[in-house]
Amino acid sequence: MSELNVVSAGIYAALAAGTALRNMLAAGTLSIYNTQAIENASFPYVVFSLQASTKLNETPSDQRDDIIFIRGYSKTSMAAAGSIDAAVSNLIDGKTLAISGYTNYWTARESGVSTTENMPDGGYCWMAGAMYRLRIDA
Amino acid sequence: MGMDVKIDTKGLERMIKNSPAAREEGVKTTAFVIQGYATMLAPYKTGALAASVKAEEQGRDVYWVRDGVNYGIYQELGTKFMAAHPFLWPACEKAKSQLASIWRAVLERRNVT
Repeated sequence: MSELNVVSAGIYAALAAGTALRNMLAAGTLSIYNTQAIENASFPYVVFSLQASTKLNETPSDQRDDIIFIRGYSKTSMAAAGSIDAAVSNLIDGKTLAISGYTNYWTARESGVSTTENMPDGGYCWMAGAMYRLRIDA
Repeated sequence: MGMDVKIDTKGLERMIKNSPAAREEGVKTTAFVIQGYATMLAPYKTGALAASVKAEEQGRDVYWVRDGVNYGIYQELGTKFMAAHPFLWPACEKAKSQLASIWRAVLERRNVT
């Protein structure tokens, strides 16, 4: 399996294991999406995607330095999106993730990001999330 | 019994003299490397986003690399309706992995070694 696939599986597993996060989402673990939510996904939900990936090539070992963007979307308020972001952070920041075939030796939250989008129905959609640096070594 | 010690500071003085220019060139070069990668990685439909990416000096040893279209942030971060197509973040990461070689070249060229 490719490195990107096993990283995605590890991120999903870490998020899905969080009871507090699951309880905030519209459909529990079904509200956690890789890359993009399905059309007409019910709010609130979480999306994670690969923002950048670097193969270090500093040693013969397969070391990767990835940036994963994990964010929550809410149609209620920015505060609700922020609460999802906080729950995600509790599950990811500083934790050792299970990445098949790799050892995760560094996981850290870096830049926080938030946006507001105008929806076709006249309402708003709030996003709050952060970039997480994930360093792994095979 | 006395002992004379002479310290030749010519090399040190040369490095101190050339350091500000080297630092300036190093920061500028790094900014333009990021600009180059971001232009290359920008999603392409009309070319407007890629063409709008610029490295601009904001002050002494400070450069901003940014795009000049209003939808750049949506490409970088995605939206509720579309997946992200990041170009600035990966550009910074690529440049970061080359920082040592960029700065070594600048310091050698500026005679700060």
